[in-house]
Amino acid sequence: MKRIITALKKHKAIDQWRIIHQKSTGYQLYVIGSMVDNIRKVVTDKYYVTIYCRNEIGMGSTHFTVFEHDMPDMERRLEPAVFTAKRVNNPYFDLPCPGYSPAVETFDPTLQGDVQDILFVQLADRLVDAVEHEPYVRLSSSEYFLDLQNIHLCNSCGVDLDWKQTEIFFDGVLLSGDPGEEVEIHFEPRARRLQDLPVEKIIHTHSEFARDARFAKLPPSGNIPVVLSGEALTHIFSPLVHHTSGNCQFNRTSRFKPGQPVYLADDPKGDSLTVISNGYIPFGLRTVPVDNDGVATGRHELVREGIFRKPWSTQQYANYLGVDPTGEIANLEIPVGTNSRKDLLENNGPVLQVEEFSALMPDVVSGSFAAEIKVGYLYENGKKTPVRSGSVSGNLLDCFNNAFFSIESRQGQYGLSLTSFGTYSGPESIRFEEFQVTGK
Amino acid sequence: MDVKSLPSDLQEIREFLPDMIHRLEECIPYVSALVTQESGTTLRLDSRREIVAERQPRRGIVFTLFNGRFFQEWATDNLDKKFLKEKTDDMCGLFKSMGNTEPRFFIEPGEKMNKHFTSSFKIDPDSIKLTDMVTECRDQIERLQKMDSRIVNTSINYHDGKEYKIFANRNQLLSSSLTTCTFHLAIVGTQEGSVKMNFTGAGGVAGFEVTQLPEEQLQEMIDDLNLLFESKALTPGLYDVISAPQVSGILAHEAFGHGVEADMFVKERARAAHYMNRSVASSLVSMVDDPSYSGLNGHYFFDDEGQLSSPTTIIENGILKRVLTDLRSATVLNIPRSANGRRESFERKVYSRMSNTYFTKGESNFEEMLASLDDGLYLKKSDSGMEDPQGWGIQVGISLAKEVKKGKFTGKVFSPMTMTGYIPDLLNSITQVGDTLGFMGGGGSCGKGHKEMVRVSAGGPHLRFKVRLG
Repeated sequence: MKRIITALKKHKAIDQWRIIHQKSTGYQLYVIGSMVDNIRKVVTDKYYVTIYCRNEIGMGSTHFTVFEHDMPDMERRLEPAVFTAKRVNNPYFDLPCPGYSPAVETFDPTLQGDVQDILFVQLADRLVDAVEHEPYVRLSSSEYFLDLQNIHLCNSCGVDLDWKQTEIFFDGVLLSGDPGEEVEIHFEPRARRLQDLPVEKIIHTHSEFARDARFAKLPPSGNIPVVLSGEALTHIFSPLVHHTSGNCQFNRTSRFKPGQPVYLADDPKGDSLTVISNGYIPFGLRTVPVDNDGVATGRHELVREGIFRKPWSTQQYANYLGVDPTGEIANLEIPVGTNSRKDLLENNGPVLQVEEFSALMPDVVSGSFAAEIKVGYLYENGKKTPVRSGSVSGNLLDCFNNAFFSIESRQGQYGLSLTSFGTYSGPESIRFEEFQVTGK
Repeated sequence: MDVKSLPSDLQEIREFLPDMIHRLEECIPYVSALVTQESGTTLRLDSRREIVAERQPRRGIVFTLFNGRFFQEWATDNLDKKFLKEKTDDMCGLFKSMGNTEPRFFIEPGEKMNKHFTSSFKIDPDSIKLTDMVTECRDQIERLQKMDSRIVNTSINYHDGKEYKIFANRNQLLSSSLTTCTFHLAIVGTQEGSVKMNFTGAGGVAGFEVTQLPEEQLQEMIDDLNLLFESKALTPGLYDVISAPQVSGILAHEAFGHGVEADMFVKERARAAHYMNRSVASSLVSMVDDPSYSGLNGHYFFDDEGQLSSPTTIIENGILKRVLTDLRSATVLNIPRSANGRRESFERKVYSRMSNTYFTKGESNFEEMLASLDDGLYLKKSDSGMEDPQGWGIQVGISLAKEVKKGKFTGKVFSPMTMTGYIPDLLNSITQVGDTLGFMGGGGSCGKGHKEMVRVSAGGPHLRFKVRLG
């Protein structure tokens, strides 16, 4: 690190800089049925360097990656980067300086122990045992990932912080039904610490889904109330996260204006929406002391009772917009409502509850989505019937005009994209009145 | 053999690997090594912000050790030869920790081969000055921004790259240098409180020439944005449709392709296992995966386990013929290997993965197909899809569909919607196959589930079929 800093400080054209040193050790275990398929260890050590150079417009920047073998040549590595940075035109902004950095929990020390024991005994064996206790299901395959990271971040304004973080993730598939007619249910929980992965509970819930899916029918078509529960909520907030960003505000592509309602309708019904970016959630997937620039994490109300309060914003866009930076979006906290889950499932006609979509990939710009139902239930006349296939469509920006949040809460994941996740802490179920269901 | 298109340090590693493999095989029955290095330039410019940087380089080596039952892999981003030599003993120790078990499978290391491959391109991205590239993008953004007053932001995503790969086992020493380039344009417009986006692009294993998009393609992007503002929600139901080549491609890739990845057969997750040599589609339908198809985004010369690329016919005249394998699945299932063993990077495991997957062309002319559609939809654009290899369910997102009545577009458009249903029902309902092949524009990537991204392409001709939309 010192060698890079010395080279950066020596270069007269470089106005500001930041370095993120990431040392990772990853362990991976792949199992087919109960047989080991592959065991892997991956060791990486990289420095992500960003330089900022003043130019006629304001400031240009570029980033590049440095490996250990690049160190003797650091000065030579800098020249093309400076050349590039000077040709990039962005308004000027200042990198954050050292300030209060909260103590947050990101590291599970139990994961530093015997890796074989963690992957084989505390995860794979437990999972295989849990499946064996479930009738009419079997395990197709499972994969286990354990990552231990040391992060050291410093910038030209004096931020100099290091911390450790852990992440554990598993990915599995359960099968149920007769050969050739089997249905599969997929699960992929992740957490920063082992104790937040209740293997037996996850297997039990998904085994029930798999058993029910064998007898599932198509849902009816029409505009019927839809209750999204559990993992079906994972990707529904990504358009909201996109439109509340400082980047989107600056680009004038956001539908929201500070101080204005986030609803399109003049008379929104249902529970009012509050959205909080919370970087303090212990062991949250996006809990870090500072973001990649060095902005201290915090708890920020982005939307309060349906009114857009302020964007989440990195240092760059905060400077451009003239607001305080919040840092990158953190974990998502949504206050619960007043109705029980049972209340949300009541209606004069049918109500569709979706537990899992095949994949919900909304258009974050327009908010539009359409997704196939993987696990769902139709509630009608006091009867609960499993449903699958068919689809739910609508708009994930407009839908909060008329949505009701359960009083029961859940801590799970929310998706920033298909491959990037934070911790979700909010209602366990949300009822939407304006989605379109396509089925029979 | 000319390996000069490899960087000098990789040339040295190429020379050094056979000796390292030889040493390791003194204590381990089968060892292979894969070195990958990816680097390049990325430009992300929009109306108000610019990012120009090197693509995050991915450089490293993975050693694969096999004990006759399962694999153990050790990967690092440190390519220092001395460091790697020192790790020989560690890897032998790692092998011993796998336990002394009776082998169930034997890996065939392939014929003796020492080859290097280089991809072709018209314009080397490295020959273009960065300043020219940036200026060109800024001009393009400014010009597009002026073409419609509703456009509030225009963005360009440009990536070029050099991908180097070296594979070695006791018989094979293969290397390749690939040049890749992708160019994507997106426009965001607002109208009466709603915000819509449309995009276009080109790309593949190709050079800077992909950035020269025809004017009609840009105009079509703007026209389609206008259509999105006019679009209505579709009444759910079963529709008679014609898919554009891009939509046919997503169908080939997502709905059927993932289900014939042979690692899914080993995991008993593939319904296709029960349909080998049986009818799964109309006799008009044939489908191929071909990593040797040069220029397309899923092109490569050999897979990450040393299998040379060649086309695999998956469906032939409606009959399921072959599946896509990685080394392990082909070995366990005792079926011929195809060149589909691919990794996201040295940091990840190999799986059976698609490359360029497409329905082959038929004999119907598009105008005739359209004229024969009495009441239905033309599915113009697709934005996503998801596999269901066990259930053979379909989820393909359609972002733009045009209504057709009595063989003519009515001017009504619908968005968004998703195709759902059972894939053999859809494939058996195909009654017309177009006579022109088309592929997804731009560089697509594909995950296995929600991870393990690799570059791919998909395509096909226009297809006419029946499907549930909503």
